Amino acid sequence: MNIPHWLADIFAAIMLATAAYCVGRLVFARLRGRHVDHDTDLVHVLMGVGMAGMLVSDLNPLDGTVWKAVFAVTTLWFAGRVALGRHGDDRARLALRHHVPHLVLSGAMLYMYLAPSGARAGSASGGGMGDAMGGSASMVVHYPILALVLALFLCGYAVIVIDRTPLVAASGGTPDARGTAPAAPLGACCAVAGAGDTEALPSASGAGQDGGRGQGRGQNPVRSLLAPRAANCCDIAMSVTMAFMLITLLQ
Amino acid sequence: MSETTLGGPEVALSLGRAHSVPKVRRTPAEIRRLLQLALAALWLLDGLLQLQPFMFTKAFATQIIDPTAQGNPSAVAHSITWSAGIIGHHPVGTNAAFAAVQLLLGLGIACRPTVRAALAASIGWSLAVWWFGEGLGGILTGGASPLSGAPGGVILYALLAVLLWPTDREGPFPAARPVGAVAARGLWLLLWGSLVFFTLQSANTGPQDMNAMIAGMADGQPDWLGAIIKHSASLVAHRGLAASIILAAVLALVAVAVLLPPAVRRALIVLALVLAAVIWVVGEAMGGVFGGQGTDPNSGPLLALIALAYWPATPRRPGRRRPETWRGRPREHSPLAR
Repeated sequence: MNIPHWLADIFAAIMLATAAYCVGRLVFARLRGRHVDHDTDLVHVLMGVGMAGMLVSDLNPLDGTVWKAVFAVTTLWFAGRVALGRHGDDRARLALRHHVPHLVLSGAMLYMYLAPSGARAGSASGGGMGDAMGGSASMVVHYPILALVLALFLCGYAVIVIDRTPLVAASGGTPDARGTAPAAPLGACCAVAGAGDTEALPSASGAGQDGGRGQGRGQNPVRSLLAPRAANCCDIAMSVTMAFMLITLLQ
Repeated sequence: MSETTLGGPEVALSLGRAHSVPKVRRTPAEIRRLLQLALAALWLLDGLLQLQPFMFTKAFATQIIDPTAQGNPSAVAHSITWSAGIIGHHPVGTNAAFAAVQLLLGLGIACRPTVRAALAASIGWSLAVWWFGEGLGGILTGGASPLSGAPGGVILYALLAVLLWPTDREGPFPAARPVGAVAARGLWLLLWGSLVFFTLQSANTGPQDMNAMIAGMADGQPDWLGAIIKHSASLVAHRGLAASIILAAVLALVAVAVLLPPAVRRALIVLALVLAAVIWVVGEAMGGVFGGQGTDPNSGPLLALIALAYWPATPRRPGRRRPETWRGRPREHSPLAR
């Protein structure tokens, strides 16, 4: 029993759009000399393409073994950053809350490639979900409780990021005037999406990061493209899609 | 050691160095917002569960919706059969709509500008699903039991929407802020008192009734969960009446918690959390999500969330007042103080 094709197509399209946005983000940041979280955006690109390939096997450009290796590396990378952050200064520890969710996201990707076994032979994902997405009769998922725990974490992470991400960018003004700056407590996990962004430091939030430099700067489309607020939207899309895929593994 | 206390940027910076930053207590508004976010996450999970392949088949109507008509009064049963017929004829379209509504409710509650609208919509949606999708949680069938999810998981979403409604009113616990302490206590008594009543219904007190109810949940579950359920079922085998009385006594104890001093209430709310966990794992098989046919996590997590909404606020001690400003702004500008 597979998920409807149109549903898989929708989620795959969202993932590819997210990956494309992150590529654009990396390119524009380089062209404009702005600093963004390269590792996060790069992993978003990989995850977007990887998940699109899981949902629609025709879109999968790589073998499952390669993907496993890729996400093993990204998981180790974020694990390393988390470990380093725990022993760093205050700024590093603030960034820790940003890296932990990405560690989980990378780990969840790895899990999705490793957990299913017995999927249809010849699946493009080579042992991943591929065409078996939605649970073929022959597919067995190892440690389904882990899929549930990860899905719950990702749902929680998604709502926290939404909570910290204003619907519209601030149009300008001083950082204090931005009002809804969601930084601080829970927000740190997403707010620090901008920790490495030069625009983000005043408030460490996803809101109108460009507003702190004067009126009207938030209108610049390139600045909007690079705003952590937009990166938060990627996090939300990734988390919800991944939670959906994990839940589909439960059956 | 991680510092997870919320309240301001200074706390966010304290991760891993709890001793280096003064501990700041969360405000009631911040606590309520956290509970709202938990509710949003559950709605989001609901929506994603609704997107499982099984839900897009006619079997969703015939195996999930239609059976809830059984034992209900004819008016209720007919309305359920009618809705199941519609869903059965258009399983893809109706299920996609159901999932979209639930996803939007979750996203709406998580988004600050839409939280009120989403909570209000969730009440209407929950009542409709409670009637047409859950058969009023089986409360009119005479066979409802807390172990099987009575009074219906979805009605608890509506209750939570009311208890967590954003308001500026003060209260001794989060749930008291929107409706007042007396009404909130009344709702708690009604909820847990009804669970006592359902536990002691004759359909649940036979020697093997509880055993059969629990053991029946083991089918199709992962080995470890099935083993827990089967073991639990064996504990109450041939002891249905005694087990029901004990369960009812514990539920009654939880029910009166809101009438007792805060210290005792805290202990009983912890008991309620444990009870919710036991009901969720043993009685509800974690909402049946491992079978691919679980439409929601059932009542266990919601009972726990409701219990947390009744956690008594700790009075502030003189000299330990919370800073009046947040990032140089008035406290009401704090991200969680909405």
